[in-house]
Amino acid sequence: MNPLPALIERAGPERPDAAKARPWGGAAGGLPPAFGIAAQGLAGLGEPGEPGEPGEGLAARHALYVLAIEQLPQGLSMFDGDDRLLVANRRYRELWQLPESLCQPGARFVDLMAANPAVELPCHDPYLSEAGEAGESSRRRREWRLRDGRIIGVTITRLPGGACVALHEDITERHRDQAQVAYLARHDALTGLPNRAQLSDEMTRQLPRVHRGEELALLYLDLDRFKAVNDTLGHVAGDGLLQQVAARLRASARDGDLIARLGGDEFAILQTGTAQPAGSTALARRLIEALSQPFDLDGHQVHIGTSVGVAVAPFDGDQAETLIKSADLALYRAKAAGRGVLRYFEPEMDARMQSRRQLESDLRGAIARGEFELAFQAQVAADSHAVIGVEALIRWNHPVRGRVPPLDFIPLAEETGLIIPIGAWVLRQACLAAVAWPESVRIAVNVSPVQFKSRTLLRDVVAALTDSGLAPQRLELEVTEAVLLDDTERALSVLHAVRERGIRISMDDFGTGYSSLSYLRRFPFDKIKIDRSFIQDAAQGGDALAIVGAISSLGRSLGMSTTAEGVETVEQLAAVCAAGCAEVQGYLFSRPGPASAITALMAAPRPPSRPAEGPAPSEPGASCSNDSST
Amino acid sequence: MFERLVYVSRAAPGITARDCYDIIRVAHNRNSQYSLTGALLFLDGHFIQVLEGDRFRMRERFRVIAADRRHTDVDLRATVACDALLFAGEWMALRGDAEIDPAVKARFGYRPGLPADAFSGDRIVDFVQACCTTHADAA
Repeated sequence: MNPLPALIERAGPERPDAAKARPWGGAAGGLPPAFGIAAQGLAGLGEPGEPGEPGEGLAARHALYVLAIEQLPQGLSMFDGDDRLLVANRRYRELWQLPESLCQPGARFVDLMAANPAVELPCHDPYLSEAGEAGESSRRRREWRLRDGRIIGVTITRLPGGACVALHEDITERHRDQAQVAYLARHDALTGLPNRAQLSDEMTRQLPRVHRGEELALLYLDLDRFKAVNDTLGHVAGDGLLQQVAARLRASARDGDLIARLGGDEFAILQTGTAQPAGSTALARRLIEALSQPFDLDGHQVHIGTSVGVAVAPFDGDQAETLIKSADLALYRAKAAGRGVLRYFEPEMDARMQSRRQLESDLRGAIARGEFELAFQAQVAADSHAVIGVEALIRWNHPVRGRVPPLDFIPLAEETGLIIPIGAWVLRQACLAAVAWPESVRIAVNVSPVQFKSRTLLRDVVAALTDSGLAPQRLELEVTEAVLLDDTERALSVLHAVRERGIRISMDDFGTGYSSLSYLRRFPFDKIKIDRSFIQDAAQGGDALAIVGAISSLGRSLGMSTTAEGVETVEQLAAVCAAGCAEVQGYLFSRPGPASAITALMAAPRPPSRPAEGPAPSEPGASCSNDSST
Repeated sequence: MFERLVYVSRAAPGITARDCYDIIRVAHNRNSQYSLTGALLFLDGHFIQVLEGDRFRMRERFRVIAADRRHTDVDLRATVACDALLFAGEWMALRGDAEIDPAVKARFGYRPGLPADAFSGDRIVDFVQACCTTHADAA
C-alpha cells in the first residue's frame, strides 16, 4: 500500500487557505509542521487559474507527489512526534526489506526496526546540525548494519514539533571503500603487514604497560643483499621476495607480536608479554635463522639474510619515538658489525651517532670553506732514485678539530656519498699541481669504489684533465680490489673507458684483502703497488720478501710494473730492489708534503741514506680511498 | 679447544633490574662479537657467571668484567679448558630469582653467594646450567 494517501487523508481537515496562512510557522490541525508541507503543497490546488475542477486538480497533484516520492532514489520516511509513521516510500521499504503491509501510517518506529533487526554502528560526527532557537530543525546521522551485511545510512531531520523526516541510503560500498582506505592507511599494500603508523599507534597503546613492570622489545631488521636481488632479478622479483620474507616473519613470531613493514626492506617487530632480553634474543635468532634459508623466486634460488637491532622498554625509553630511534641505532651498529648480527641498543651508540652527524655536517661544508688540501709524496725509480711519479694525498684541516685523519672521515664520506665531490676536487687539484712538474712525472690519485659506482668518475676525470691541461698519460688512478668486488663487469667497463683515454690504472694495496689473481687477468693494470705490510718485513727476508719477489715476478710476466709502498730504510730499499720492484715510495725518499717540497726534491734528489726529512703527518698518510701509502 | 671461566661476585649496593639489563645487553653485544657464550645469575645480591669460548678473547673480556664497578669481591672459582660449550647459542643468558625453579635451589643446597666451601667450580657450572635449562623459554 502506498502511504501517501494516508497522509493526504490526515491532511484533509486542513483548509487550503488556512495552511497557506501558516507556512512553516506551526502545524495545522495539530499536525506537525512537516506534515504541513504536504498540506501546503496541496493547498495550492483549486486556486483560480488552475485547469479543471478543484477535486481533479487535487487528485492530479496528489498523483504527482506520489510519483515523485515513490521514485526518489533514496528511501524516505517520516514519523510524527510519537514515532509513528506518517509516510514512507518504496525505496525505504526495499532498503529495510519491509513488507508494504507493515508500512502503514501509524506504524510504530520500534515495530518497523524490529522487523529487520540491525546493529547501529558508531557514526563519526553524527550531529550534522544542532537545533537552534526559534524552532529551527536539527539534523543528525545514524548508520545501521543489517543482518545481510548491508549498511544503511540515515540522515534525520528532527522538526521543531517533534516529527522527523529521514533519508535512507545503502552505503555498503562507501563503507567498504572507507574501510579499504583505512586499511591501506595502516597496512603495507605489498605484504599486508601493519605499517609504521600502526606500529607507532600500537606502541603508544602498549607502552603504559611498562609502568606496571612489564617489558617490551622493539626489534628492527633489514635485509642483507636485498638491493642485489632487486638489481639483478628486477623489482617484481624483489616484491616477491618481500612477500616471502613477510610470511617467514609471521611464521617466526608468536601471537601477540606485531610485525610491521616500515618501507623498503625494513621491518620491525613489537614483542610484548615476555621477559627481556631473553625473549627478544630468542625471537631475533629465529628471525636470523629463518631469513638465512634460501628463497625461491621463480626458479632462482636467492640467499639473503638479516641483521637485527633491539631496544627494550623501559630501559631504553618509554616513548614510541625514543624506542624506534634506539632500535634503529642498534640496527645500524648490527649492520656495521657484519651480517646476521643481533645488537642491543646501548646509550653510547646514540653519542657516537651524534658525533658522526656532527662530523658529517662539518664534512659537507669542508670543500666550500677550503679546509681540504693535498699533500704529495714522491714515487721514485728503484734504480736511479729519480722522481717518476707523485701520489696526491688528501688532508682535512678542521678549524676546531685540527687535522682530521683520513681514516676518520673517508669512510663517512664514502657512506654519505660526499666522496663524489671530494674525489672530484682531489682529481682537479692534483692535475693542476702536476702541470707545473716535468712531463716525465706522473700524478697518482686514489679513487674510491663509491666513485666508480656513481657513474660520475669518467666525467670528473675528463673535466680535471681538460681544466688543467694535463696530458692523460700523466694521470694514474689508483684503485683497490674493492672496486672490483661488487658489480665487477660495470667496474671493468669504467676502467676500460678510463684507460681508452690514455689514463693509467694501478692496483693499490696488493697483497691484502682477497688479492685475487683473476682481477689481474681481467684488467691489464699498468702497475701493482705492493702493500707496505710486506715491505716492512722484507728486510728480514723470509716469507714477506718471498711474497714481494713473487708479486714483482708476476707483474713482469703480465707487463705491469711494481711499486714497493712504505719503504722507510735503506735495508728495505735494498731488499725490494733485489726482489725486482721497479719503483719505490716511502719516507726514505719523501714524506707527504706540499707541492713545493716535491719540486725541490726533483731539483735536488737526496741520496737514500736515511729517512727523508719533512713535515711528518700526524697520522698514517692516507689518501682519498682510505689508504695508508706514506 | 675452549676455556670456561666461573666467578661469583657481590653486587654493588643499589643494583637494579635496569643495571642487570645494562649488563646483559652489553654482554650480549660484546660476546656475540667475540663468539663468547655463557650465563649470568643474579641471586640474593650476588652475580654468578659462567663465561666460555676462545681463551684469549675470554680473558680479555674478563679483565673488563672484573673492573666493573657494579660488583665487588669478584671471586674467580674456576678456569678450565674444555672441548665443548655448555651454553652454545647463549651469548649471555640471564636468570633472576623469579625465573629459577625453587626445586633446583633446594636440590643443590643453594646458599647466597655460593660459598666456596660448598660450591666448587664444577658444582657452580652444574647449578647455573640447571637454573637455565629449567627455565621455560617464554619467547
